[in-house]
Amino acid sequence: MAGNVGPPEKLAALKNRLDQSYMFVISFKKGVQSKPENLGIDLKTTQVEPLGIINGFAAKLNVRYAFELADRDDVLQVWYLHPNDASLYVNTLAAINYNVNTLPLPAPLNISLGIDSKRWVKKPHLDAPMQRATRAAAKAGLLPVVAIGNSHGGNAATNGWINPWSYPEWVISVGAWDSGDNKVAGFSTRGDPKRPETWPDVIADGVDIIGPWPTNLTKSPGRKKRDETNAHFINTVAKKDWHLYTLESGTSMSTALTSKAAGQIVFFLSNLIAQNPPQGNKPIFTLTAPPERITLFDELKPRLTGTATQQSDGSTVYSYNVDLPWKMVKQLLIDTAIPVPGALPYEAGAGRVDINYINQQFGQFGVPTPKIAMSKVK
Amino acid sequence: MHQRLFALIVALIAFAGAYFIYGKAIKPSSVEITAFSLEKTIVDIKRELARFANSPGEPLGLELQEIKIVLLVQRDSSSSSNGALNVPVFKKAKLAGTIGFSEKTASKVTIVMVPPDGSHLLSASDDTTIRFVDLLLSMRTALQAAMAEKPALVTKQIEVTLNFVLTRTNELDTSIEAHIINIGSSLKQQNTGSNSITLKYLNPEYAKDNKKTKPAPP
Repeated sequence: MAGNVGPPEKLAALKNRLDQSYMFVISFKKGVQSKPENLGIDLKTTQVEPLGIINGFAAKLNVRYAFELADRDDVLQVWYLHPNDASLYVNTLAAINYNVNTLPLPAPLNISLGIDSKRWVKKPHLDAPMQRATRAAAKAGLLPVVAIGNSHGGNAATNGWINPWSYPEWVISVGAWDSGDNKVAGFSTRGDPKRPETWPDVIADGVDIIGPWPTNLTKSPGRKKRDETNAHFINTVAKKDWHLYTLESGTSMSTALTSKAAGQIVFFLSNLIAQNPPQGNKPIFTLTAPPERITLFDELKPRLTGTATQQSDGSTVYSYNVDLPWKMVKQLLIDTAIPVPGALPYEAGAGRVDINYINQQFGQFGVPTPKIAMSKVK
Repeated sequence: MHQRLFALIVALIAFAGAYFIYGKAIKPSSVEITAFSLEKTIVDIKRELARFANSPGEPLGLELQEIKIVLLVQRDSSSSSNGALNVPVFKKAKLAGTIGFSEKTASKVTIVMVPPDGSHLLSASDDTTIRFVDLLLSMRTALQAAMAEKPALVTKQIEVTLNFVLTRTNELDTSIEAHIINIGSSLKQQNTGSNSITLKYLNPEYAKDNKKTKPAPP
């Protein structure tokens, strides 16, 4: 019983709860059409969220029945979701599914979200539905930019415990920089020094970032006071608009800034390739980095694409050929990140993404205003 | 008449003297350097608990079910406070010696709360003045180590009480730390004048012992 049920560490507990009902993500095998009704699911009585991106669907099912489905020949996987994470998880999958089918690609996908850190695992499952969805999205040209988390709090015991959605190679994992104190933000989740796959790829400003405040909500007295006594807020936002904006801190904010940078690189690459069609194996462009821009991260993590050639004067020339968009954009963000002295790669990745520097470096064809695409989910 | 007036004056002086001595006697220990608003203390502890909830780690196999906080409170002696209730803050340097609390009979506020959930939107919670979460994480790490020790026994419930006082380096220091007094429940060592936080962990597998209770999701 229980074929391919995940996550594996929950299997024993689920077997003790056969009469309970939870949310599951069901995936069909490759080549099998995703039709819940073929599994005996009554669409009139069971709410089903179709998830074409992983050839499956999400539905609340009885555990015993979910285990029976996992034994079927046409089912690839049955994945349990904790009730506190289920809504966020399924809606995020549905949003990826919607955007990959509706957006002009390539485009960045901002994921400033994650499941409750109580349920993070030390080695995230690369076969989990979210990882399979982001892999399919990246392959299609929707480039996931994911927050690494805010779990650090100055405690080294949490090193290596990261938002599992930020773990795969095909996503851009982002930590937070505190530009006020000129250091990696205390809350920004750190990777495991001995496991480079857990390190953030880059960091970006993530403390006291000005963002929109929902007009249907009233700020708490504490938030209002914090906003209206912050010099950066007062000097940046016109007083008449103070109720429309607020300060927020977190790797979510850093991720949004990095998504914007990724969008600018996508715009640059699209125009460059359209105007200068690639010729054979000839690089489409090169960048030269002075010695002080080379970090331990560059030395310890293998490149995803392109080449790095050290010159006699100590500088490094990066050459880029046309490759999968996620590989090109991620590598360019890493190569152009500004090193942060005193921080190690498990804390800061390759360094800080500076949006002004990115706009300057990749602004040859203009700097368009980013557009936020709505995600349609149930 | 004069005798009565004299007696009254003597009585008033005696009362004032007694009041002065009594005031000195019940005044908090000299290691106390300031006080911290009860409201702010609770808000900060709630934020610290949210940070604790956002701190991942090896699972204990247990669910944190309940948090009980007991805070020592006193009336603020400063005239501007309008009689607000405060939690005393002690000078850190003095804690190495005997913590001379005299508040065994002082008022206490007890708060019982369910653990907060972690954040889905990955934004950091507001900064707190009280640095608390390291104590809780140290405690959790100790529990994890103890439970992994062979022979491993199935744990049904763990309840840990952590006694602490709020400390400051000096009156100008803006950050307040939670300074641990002891872990455990040894009455001999326990300082009844301190604040405490009790974490109650339950093994979700034992929820099924009660047929009427729906088992906790894994």
